Amino acid sequence: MTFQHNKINPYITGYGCSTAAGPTLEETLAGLRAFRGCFERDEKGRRIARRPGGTLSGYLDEAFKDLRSRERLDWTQEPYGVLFASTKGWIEDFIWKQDPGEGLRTDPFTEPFESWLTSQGLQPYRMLTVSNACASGLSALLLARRWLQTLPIKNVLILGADLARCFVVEGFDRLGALSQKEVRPFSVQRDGLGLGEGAAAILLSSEPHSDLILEAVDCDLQGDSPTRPTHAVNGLVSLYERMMSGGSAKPDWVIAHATATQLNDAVESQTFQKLFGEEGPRITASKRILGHTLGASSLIDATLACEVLRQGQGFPIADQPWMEGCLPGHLAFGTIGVQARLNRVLVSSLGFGNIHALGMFQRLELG
Amino acid sequence: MIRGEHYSWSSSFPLTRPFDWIAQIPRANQLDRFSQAIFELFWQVREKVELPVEIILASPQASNYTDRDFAAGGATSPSKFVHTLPNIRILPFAQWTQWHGRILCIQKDPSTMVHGLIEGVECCEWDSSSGTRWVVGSFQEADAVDLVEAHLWILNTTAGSVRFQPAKSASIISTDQILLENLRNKGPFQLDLGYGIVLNREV
Repeated sequence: MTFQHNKINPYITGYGCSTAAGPTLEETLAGLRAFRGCFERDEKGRRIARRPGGTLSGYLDEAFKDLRSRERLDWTQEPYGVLFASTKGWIEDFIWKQDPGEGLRTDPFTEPFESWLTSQGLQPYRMLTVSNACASGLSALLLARRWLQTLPIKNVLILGADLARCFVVEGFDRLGALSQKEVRPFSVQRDGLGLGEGAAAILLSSEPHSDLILEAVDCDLQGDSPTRPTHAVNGLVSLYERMMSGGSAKPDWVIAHATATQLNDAVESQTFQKLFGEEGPRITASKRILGHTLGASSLIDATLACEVLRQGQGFPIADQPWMEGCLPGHLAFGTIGVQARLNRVLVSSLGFGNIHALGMFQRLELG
Repeated sequence: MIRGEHYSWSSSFPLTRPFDWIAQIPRANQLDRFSQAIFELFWQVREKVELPVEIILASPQASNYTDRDFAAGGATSPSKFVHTLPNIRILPFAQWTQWHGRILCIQKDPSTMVHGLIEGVECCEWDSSSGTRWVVGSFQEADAVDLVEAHLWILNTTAGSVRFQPAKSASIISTDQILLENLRNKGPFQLDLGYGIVLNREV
């Protein structure tokens, strides 16, 4: 199977996020570096990373405002595309009602997201939602890159957002996927994930207005179980090899999906060992602090990758090394490996339905 | 010009007899009716279709009715929760065929399926060498609570009874309802999907 998947490398001309750690990427990164946990307990004692009073539109407002504070060009004067990455969108607004009525007849993304776009004065040439489970963010970047090559537009704004409210919290709880103690990615003592809320925004451009590029991105379905990442090691390895066939170099740093479930982290550990061996890049993750923000998570990690590249400074997975864990020698703890000159960061993402996605972010050396 | 074939299947649920393939899919009894509909449609055409390099999953209403089933049951069923993601619907196909490849699950009601076709056609035009694309979706008729429909579009550049041609000008995006009304009439039709693409069905 061959794809024309690496024809251009879009420039990343703006990015921002809003998470449980704060309404900006700066505060999010500060929270990660200070190991400042954002989890609160809900009425049933389940740990959720969110800010009081947060709404989906509110998180989007903040992420977009953060992007606009950092963007490099006025892109709204010409036709542009918008993609929304989410697993459940605004479903909480109608699904619990006795009579959800019209709510059931139309998807829980389009109408409220278009209202949000209108509130921001945005009128895109084309808008779509990508709902590839927890790999939605990187999958939307894949479609955005294609749009830049096929549509009469030079810019695509990608937004991702999800809430951790009753619907998804009950669902993950029933699956037995929620951590009872502390989210410990790649630790042998890991016991599950903590859900989180947030949003992220990235602006991709076909014109060279930035030193950051989306060097490669791809997604794939491989496996035969709805919730267990069967065959995912081979799937991720072959996806990485396909994605890198254009000649890209190995990453200096990896932001792993790292939900801290037994299955996810085992798959990623084996994948990274297979891809990089013993001398691999430093591996970190954000979900210990920010929680798992579902469809927004890989887009939040993408914004972190951009800022890490720009600052030349990563963030650790935890302050103290786990007593025992997967990937010995690779994980970034405390200050080990945090300060380094970085040119490439890989973001990985796995979702229900055996969808997985990878994105490589690069900082160009400008003469 | 992109050509292709369109297949559809519909039925009221619950069915009067089990699907022929029920023993061949793990935990098939846990599939929601929308996943069953898509797999039944594939099962009926499996010997005459080429497997795709990419699938665009475009189901109107996303997984709203399955979400409602999960919520109305007190949000207690893990197997129902698993199907509250619309991308899960293609998994029985991937299980049975061992297919792997690129997949994009998109939503844009009231034109989700139309947008799936537009994305599929544009993708085939842009990258015609790599193979067939599928656009797949299933949904429930809003006024017929038990009636589920599934649609499969096989898009390639060589043959098929439907053609996608450039339109003279971009126009308003068609809705899924208009597309489905044309498809149900069985005869030839021409429909401006939007973004400069016209769908022609020949008979």
